[in-house]
Amino acid sequence: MNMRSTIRTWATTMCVLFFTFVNAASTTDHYDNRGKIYAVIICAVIVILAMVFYLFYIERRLKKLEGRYHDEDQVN
Amino acid sequence: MKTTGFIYQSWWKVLGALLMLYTYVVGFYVPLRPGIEEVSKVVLTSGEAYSIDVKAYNANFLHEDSKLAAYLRVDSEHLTRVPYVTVTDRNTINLKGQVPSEFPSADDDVLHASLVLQDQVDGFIVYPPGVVIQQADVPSSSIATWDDRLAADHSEWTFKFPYVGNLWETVRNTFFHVAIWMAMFVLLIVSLIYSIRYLRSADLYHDAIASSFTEVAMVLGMAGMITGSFWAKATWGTYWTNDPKLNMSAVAVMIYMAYLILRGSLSHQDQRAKVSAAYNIFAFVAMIPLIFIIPRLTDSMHPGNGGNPALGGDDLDSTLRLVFYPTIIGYTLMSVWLSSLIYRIKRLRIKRLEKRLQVS
Repeated sequence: MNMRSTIRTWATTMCVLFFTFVNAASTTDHYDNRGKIYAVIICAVIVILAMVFYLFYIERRLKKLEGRYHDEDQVN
Repeated sequence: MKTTGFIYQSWWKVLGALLMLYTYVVGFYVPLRPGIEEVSKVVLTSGEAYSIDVKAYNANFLHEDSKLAAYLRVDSEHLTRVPYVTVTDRNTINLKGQVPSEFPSADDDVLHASLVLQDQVDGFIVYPPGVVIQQADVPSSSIATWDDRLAADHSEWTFKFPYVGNLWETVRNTFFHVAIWMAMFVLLIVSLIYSIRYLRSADLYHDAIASSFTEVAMVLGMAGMITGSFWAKATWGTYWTNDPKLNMSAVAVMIYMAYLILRGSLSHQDQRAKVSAAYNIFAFVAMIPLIFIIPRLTDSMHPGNGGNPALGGDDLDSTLRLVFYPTIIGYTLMSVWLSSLIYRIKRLRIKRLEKRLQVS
């Protein structure tokens, strides 16, 4: 699986999870609609997204390094 | 290569993931304690017959065990029970009664009374701003008198987050905004320690640790600012205000961003390590007054600053603490995990370089 489709899969999963969550939160009796629970959901999702995107960034860096070392080893 | 060190062990990574899971489940699952949102009348006169509409949040007034009682409480020895409490729906009630005509002390011109609801399901619900009782110009007779005790409380303690003023459910953002910043400070302190160690040892691995931690700390810093912005939109009504705390933390994050740009601009390994270690110490020293001191010296809307204390009382009560502290540890462990991955990449690079130097 290449990088692009990985990201697409992840993004789709995240969106589905996010909307399921928002839907569940807004239809149950647990949260009152005046309670601004959406602000909490947005923040919680941002924190997770920040970490996930940073993981992708690390992976890209590692891949670049692997490629470079592979090329160097080929030369030697 | 030795693969038994701390960064290869998985127990703390599992612990970090579990603590984060705990935050997300408990942080959303635990309901809020009831609170009073609005009171239709806040100024009363002695002897007056009043009718007050009270709008509550998350209350259960219709519950059959509720047995609601309401009081106007002046101090621990003076309170008056509201004789007629009409429940309209689960969150609205109407209080009717009369204010006692005599003040407890003849010296007082004005009384400050808090409105206390006693619910046998949810316990006490207090409206902190309370009501003001003025002395009537013409003395009137009132059948109401001052009492000195509340009815017996049979409510059981339940694990619920506090209702804080105009925050509503967003009090949960303590775990998604405040804890993020706390984890960032932990990472920056570690980064500072390794920068100082680098300057003493000239060991490139120390520099690699310092820069990996700063990189992840900046991801947290950005997340902290964005989440804070959404929280501000929900409670203050705007994404950004010219509040010293907000502006100064933006400056502090920018100083650290400059650290990462500075590292990228220097190509020589040792030079980059030395300059950035010195800069890192400067950045940390600059951050302390920017985030912790200047906002405290001026007025700030942001809790924890000038004229606006935080992390005490209802802002962070024992139920919030029970989630807040594990959350900080969870975020810190997860970020240390991310930093360790970056560090391992950097270490590979340094190892390569050393090998090449040995060969040539």
